[in-house]
Amino acid sequence: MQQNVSKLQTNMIAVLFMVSIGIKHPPVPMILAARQDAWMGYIVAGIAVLLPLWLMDAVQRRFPDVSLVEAMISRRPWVGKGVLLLYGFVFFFTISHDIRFLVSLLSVYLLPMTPLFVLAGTAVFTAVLFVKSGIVVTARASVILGPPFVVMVFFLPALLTGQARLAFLSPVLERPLGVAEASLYAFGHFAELMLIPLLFGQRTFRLAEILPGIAVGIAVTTIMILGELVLFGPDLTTMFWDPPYELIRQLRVTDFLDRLDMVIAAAWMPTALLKIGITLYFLCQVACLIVPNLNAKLAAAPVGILALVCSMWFFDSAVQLGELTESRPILFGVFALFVPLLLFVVLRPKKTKNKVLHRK
Amino acid sequence: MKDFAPVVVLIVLALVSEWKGYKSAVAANRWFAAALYTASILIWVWMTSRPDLPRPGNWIDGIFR
Amino acid sequence: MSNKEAAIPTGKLVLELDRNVQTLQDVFTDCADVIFRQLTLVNGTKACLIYIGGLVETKELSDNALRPFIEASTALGDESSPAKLLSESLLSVPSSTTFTRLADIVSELTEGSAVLLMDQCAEAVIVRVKGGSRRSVEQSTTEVSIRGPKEAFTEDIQKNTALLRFKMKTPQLKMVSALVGEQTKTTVYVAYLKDVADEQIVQKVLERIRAIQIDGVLESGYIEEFIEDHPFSPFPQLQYTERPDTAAAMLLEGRVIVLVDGTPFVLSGPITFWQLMHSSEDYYERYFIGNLLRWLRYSFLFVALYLPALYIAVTTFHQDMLPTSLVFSIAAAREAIPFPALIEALIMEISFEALREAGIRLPKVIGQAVSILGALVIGQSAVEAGIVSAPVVIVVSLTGIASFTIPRFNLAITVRMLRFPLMLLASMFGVYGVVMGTVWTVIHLCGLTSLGVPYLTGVAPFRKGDQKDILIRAPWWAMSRRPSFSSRNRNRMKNGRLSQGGDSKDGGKSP
Repeated sequence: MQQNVSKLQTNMIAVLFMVSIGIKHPPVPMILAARQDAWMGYIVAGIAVLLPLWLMDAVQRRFPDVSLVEAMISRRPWVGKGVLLLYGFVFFFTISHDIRFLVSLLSVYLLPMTPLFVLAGTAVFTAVLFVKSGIVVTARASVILGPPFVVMVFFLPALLTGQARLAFLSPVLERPLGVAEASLYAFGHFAELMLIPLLFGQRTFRLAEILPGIAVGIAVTTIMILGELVLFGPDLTTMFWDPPYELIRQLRVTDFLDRLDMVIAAAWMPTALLKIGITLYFLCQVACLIVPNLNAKLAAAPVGILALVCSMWFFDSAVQLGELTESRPILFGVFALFVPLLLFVVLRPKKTKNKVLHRK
Repeated sequence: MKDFAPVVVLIVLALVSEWKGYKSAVAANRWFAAALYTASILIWVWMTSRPDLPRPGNWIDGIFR
Repeated sequence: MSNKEAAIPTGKLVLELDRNVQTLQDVFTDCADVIFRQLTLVNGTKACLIYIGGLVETKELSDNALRPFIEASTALGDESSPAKLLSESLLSVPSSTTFTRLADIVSELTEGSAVLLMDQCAEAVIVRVKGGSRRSVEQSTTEVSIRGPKEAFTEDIQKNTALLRFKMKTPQLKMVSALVGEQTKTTVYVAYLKDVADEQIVQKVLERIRAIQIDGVLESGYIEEFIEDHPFSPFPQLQYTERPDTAAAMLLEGRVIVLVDGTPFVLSGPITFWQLMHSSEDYYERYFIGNLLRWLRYSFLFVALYLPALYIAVTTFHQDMLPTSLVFSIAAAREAIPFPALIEALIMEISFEALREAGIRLPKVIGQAVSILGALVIGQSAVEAGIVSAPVVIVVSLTGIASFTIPRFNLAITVRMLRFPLMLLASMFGVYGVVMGTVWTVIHLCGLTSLGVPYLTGVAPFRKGDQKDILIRAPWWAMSRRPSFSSRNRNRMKNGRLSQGGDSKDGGKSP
């Protein structure tokens, strides 16, 4: 008996996918491209990501009673499985990147003496727990673990007004092309939202349902980059490996509470773990759809361990993770535009028979 | 990361905790798990044996930057 | 006849009184408290009154059963069914019936009824005069509140159902009975409000209770472990209460109450996690006070769970989180201590738990003094001996006090237990360990159900209507709907309207 995932939970998952890693890497290349106008990049990228999602929504409308995954597999098995395999590769890269990033961040800032492998092992263990509990439990957990971080980010402007220098933001719109380039870098991360239409195996996808989540995601990322710009200025921010962490280290409420960064960092960590968990769940679903007779919950541990090993292998160093942001728009952008277009053109309901496959 | 003990330990832990599931499930699950675990061990051994390892991160960096 | 055969008699009564009496005496061999009162009536008929001394109300038995029987003996002479005539017309006890099967007669005897056997009559008259002395209705010792009713349930299930009926004067309050326990034959009532409670949940509870096969049930905790959804979870999935007002509130919200004979603690379900943090005082005081108390409790839940783990994490891994002067004083305090922060904290925590447990069994006079002060005094001595440092004593005391603010004992114990794995994780991974522990706990909680209702209902899955009673307590005039898992009838009141202040709105009319 599959219980439904509610709209709020879907929105929260969308926010997680935009925010948890999306606030970390893009700011540096964005600011290098657009300098003080970089904050517009997230907004433009957020609007741009609506296009592929709208295309997926249009494809879903052709199959009102079945989920997109079922439509793909049943209507065009080879195309469907090919698309799923492509998704599998792209999101396998994503999960390896996310694991490596989380582990590197923990190792650099919090636990320098702990081996990377051990930290990665704990992260993968948590992700496997998410998968074995199922998507319903994971979605519920996202409503509990996601909002604290989002709420804290919304409080940031009030806490940082004393140190802000709005002069850093002017002149406004000095480089429109730079803004376009910056939005490309942000789009490279926002494109991970392409997971959402295929994530819930028994639920139809409606773009209108996740619009609030996308809006919140844009707001959170924009607040973070604006904070970095007004506190540090464009020149200094590009020197950081992890600008948001440096931003929250500036939080000072009184003399006593001058290290609130740990609280916000502690609120951020579950969002990253959730993202890894949901991506792992998706990879297990893809594996089950491609390999017949596979049980998703049993596949979680092997896929997780392979992702862990690959997270150590794929990337030379933690710095390379940030540098890859510049290549992401090409990889993810092509993926994010190619797949919906392909599905839009190819996937149509059968015209000869009136009934589409119903499987409720 | 000189030896491949960590990944073997992790795989053994995973096998022990999932043992009941693997025993009662369809054969495809066992093959899938075996394939992925073997791939993980091979990649790890390969990684720890070569200092100048080809890495996909470097490939992507080389192509697109 | 072997002992086993005598213990569970089969068969029916015969016409001869002596044989019937002998059969029953064999069943109750070596039971000195079973009394066989032989009678000879005026018309020569022999009879025998059997009862268990101490279980029956002897005055009622003699006034309303024995005397009418003796006086009506002449009317029984020619009756073909004297037992029925006695039971239905002549005896003036509130409840009476006739049985022929020996098993039923033995069962009634052990329940506290008296049995009247007559010669040449194969039916026995059962006179239900259950008495015996039991504890009277007193104040609750475990759930104390400043404002609100003070009476508590007792061990007698009839008194408990009466206490509930005093509060809910409606025929919609249904009580379905079940008998659990082969030796104890404990009466269990499942109470619910028809048209408010979900029928499926009621049926689920009844099925699970009826499926219990056990020797004896002495407390509702036995039944709780049999009917809960997740037996291996540390979190309680059913609440227990000693107070009729709490039980009535549960019924009004659409929950099911399980009353068990022999214990004053009744079970209620389905529950949510948030409900375990609520106390009846939230609802009896005005909503300002109720909200403040609730927020206080939630913050102290956080303290009770996380303070020792955060202390260990911060002092071991993240010293830069603390203000400099505090770091210096903690470092100075810990300089001479040979143990790492985890061992210090574990020593003190375990000692505190031991003191708390011991304090339950100490006589009341010194019990209270030993629990809290004992921890501090012993802690102070330990500090002076150089075993633990002073900050740890403070942390542990604060944690202990915080855990006492949790209203439900079963949740408080769970929180105390969960502290220890969090401390271990904190000592290994610092703040990340605490975060991981939290994530694992949240995953567990999100998957937990109580009689089919998700444990975190209200927040995950989100129910807008339930928000008025989770983290805040909306005023009574605004809480017009019942919680989301009660069945169809969600409307508590006609329309939630603020009470009109009348003339007193602008300060009243008097000069």
